[in-house]
Amino acid sequence: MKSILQTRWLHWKKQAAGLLFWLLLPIVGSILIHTLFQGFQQQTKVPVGMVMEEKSPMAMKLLHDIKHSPTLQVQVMDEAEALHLLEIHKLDSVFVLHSGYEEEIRNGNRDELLTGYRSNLSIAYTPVKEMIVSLVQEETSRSKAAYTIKGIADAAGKKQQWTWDEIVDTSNRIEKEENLLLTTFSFLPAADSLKPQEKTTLDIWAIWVLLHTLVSFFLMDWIIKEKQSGVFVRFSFMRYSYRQYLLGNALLYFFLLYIFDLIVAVVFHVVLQTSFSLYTPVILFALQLMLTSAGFLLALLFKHSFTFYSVSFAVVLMMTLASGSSILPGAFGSSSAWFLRLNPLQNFLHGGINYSFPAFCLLLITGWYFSKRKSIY
Amino acid sequence: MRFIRHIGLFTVNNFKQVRRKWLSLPLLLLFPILLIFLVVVIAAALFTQDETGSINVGLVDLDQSTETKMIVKLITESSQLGNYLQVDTMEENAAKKLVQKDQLGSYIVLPDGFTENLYQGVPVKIAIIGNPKQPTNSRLIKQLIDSVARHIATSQANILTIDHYAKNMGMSDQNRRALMFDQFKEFLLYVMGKDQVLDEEKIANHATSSPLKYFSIAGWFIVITLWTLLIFHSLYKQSGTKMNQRMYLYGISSIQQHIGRMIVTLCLVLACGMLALYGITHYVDLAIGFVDYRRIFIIALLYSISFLEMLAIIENVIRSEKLVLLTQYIATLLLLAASGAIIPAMYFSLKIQHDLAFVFGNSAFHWLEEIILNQRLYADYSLLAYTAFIGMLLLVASSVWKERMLR
Repeated sequence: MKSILQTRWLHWKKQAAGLLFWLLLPIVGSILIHTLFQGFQQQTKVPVGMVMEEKSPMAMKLLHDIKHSPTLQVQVMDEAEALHLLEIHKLDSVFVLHSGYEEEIRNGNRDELLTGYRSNLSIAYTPVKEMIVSLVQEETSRSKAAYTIKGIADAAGKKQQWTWDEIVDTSNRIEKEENLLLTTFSFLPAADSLKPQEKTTLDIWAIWVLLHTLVSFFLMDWIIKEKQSGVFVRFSFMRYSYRQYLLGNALLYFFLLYIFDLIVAVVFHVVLQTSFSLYTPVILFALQLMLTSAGFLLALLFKHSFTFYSVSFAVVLMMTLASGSSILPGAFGSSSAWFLRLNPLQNFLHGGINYSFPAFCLLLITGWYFSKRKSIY
Repeated sequence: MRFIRHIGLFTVNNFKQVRRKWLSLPLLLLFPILLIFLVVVIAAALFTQDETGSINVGLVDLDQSTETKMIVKLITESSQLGNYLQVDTMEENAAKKLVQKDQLGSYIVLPDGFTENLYQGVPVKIAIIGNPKQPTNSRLIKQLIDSVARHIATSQANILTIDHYAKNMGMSDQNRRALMFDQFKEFLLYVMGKDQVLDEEKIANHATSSPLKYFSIAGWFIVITLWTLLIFHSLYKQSGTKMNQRMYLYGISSIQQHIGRMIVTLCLVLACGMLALYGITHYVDLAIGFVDYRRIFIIALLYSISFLEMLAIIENVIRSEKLVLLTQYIATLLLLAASGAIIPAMYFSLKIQHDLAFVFGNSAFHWLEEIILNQRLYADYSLLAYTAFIGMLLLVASSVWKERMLR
């Protein structure tokens, strides 16, 4: 084993820059993608068309409030244009503020002050609608209060009357002064898992594990490259058989990658405050065992490194899609569809260990090691 | 002349290689379709789950007054928070346990003294406790609760206003208390009827654009992109330095080999792509005439040329095979993302939309959409043509540079 380490060390020293690049790629890449995505998410806005049939102060106030929302991109236009843009899916939804908006509110009516149009591709309609409705209802319910007070005053036979504006101003003042209702949001501390505890937009571990899978496969290309070199013939005269040599080196790669896994866990813990427990190294150990053995088996199948890389990409691409439900913030919860369970990374993404897949790979490797074949690899 | 003959030689050679690989070619062509199929299946599974298994929300009422009981009853029975919320009342400990078991999206706590404080005008805090395993759902709930909070805050301010004026009118305390309870019920019902404010209409323009049509075009666009990438890769040949030197003596550089590969890739992709489009039009019922096919063909041709040039330039500039592949895949992904085939371009901010219009992928997909979905009778190829031309210049430059570096 010592001599294997020595020879591998000679290789590694020569490839130091390249090796380091690939080992660091998952960490740097995942942090980069994570921050990029966050920036991107702030840039994505829901395009909403507003049609203002009336330009009264109250209508303009509503428009101002809607424009104030950070998630919306509001464009004011005429109805025909807005509906056309909605039809060809250039707008997510269109809201038409009907003429007589202010007058209706002052009269205490609130029925159908606006019309909301959605298309069959509207994604964000419900939250946007709820927001606009709650803003409109602020005005209408103040008007309602004003009429209630008038009613009470009339019933009591009071001469003293307050104007509509006066009452609405009072209500506005009270709401502002008191700041009556606050909502707080917090997460229940998670049980033991790799999952980050505070809210994140994109699961950093999921991005990392996909990049890491690719790199774990890629780094196994020495199997193909050394198969072609002239040294191959000399194995018949050596202490080790070719298979022992391969296994020993794979073990070295396993430990090298595992050390970097642990570094990643620490870096993520320090930089992104992900949780780190005694269980974490165990999960990573199982993960690395699975990836290294799978990469080893895959590399044995190929003669040309380029095809091996391409196939590795295809495999990782499939895994990315299968893991998509866990990565994207838009996906809902933990899906239990059967084909998602086929994804070997699924357990890891939910902070667990997949036992069957590494066991299967190790079994295959054992079978390969003891199989009697004419070729020595 | 010699240059063209060399290109011809490599083209013929590549065609022979493709014929030899006739077994793997269908696999190559099927792979992107399989990928998209997988995406559709997963998306379908997620969406159906979304509809049947709505988000579960717990409601913990620590106040237990008549008013909060009424709120709780109304919320749980009518589920006014939106169709996808399932609200149930429970004890706080039970809620905590269910969140830990991942059976609850989050829970809302109405604090002790909720009603009393509301009447008195003391600020009240509603706590929303999210499930860390379902961050999206939790934030969705938070967003909806914020809307609800705005309703409640306004109602409360109005109730207090009424109280204020009732006091001014000299109403007795007992009467005022009864009045406030009446008003509370009144405003609660008023909030529950909030949807009256809005008249909702749904536009479904099936004639020009149903989601199926949109997504089938996006799918087709992604498929031809991936076909181009995969076929171009499959024609890659590793040749040693000795071979390269010998070829160099014959006056052959990487450019002839690249052009040979590109021609074969283009022929295969365009042939299969147009066939696939023909198949799709029959299946999805898109109205495309013969003239449209010609326009689509030109767009696909110019787009594929630019894309292939991009891939070839990457191969020239980067030496490590692994890195070449990684860069090509990332570039492809970025190109697809920028094209608007994955996320419709309208969801980007206006500034980004403006900048993206200069990316050839975006332009190609835009005109495809215009022609197929919006029945435009005209397409502007200028940006695509310029890109293809500039790409060719860059490709030549990069291969000259590579030649110099190798010597």
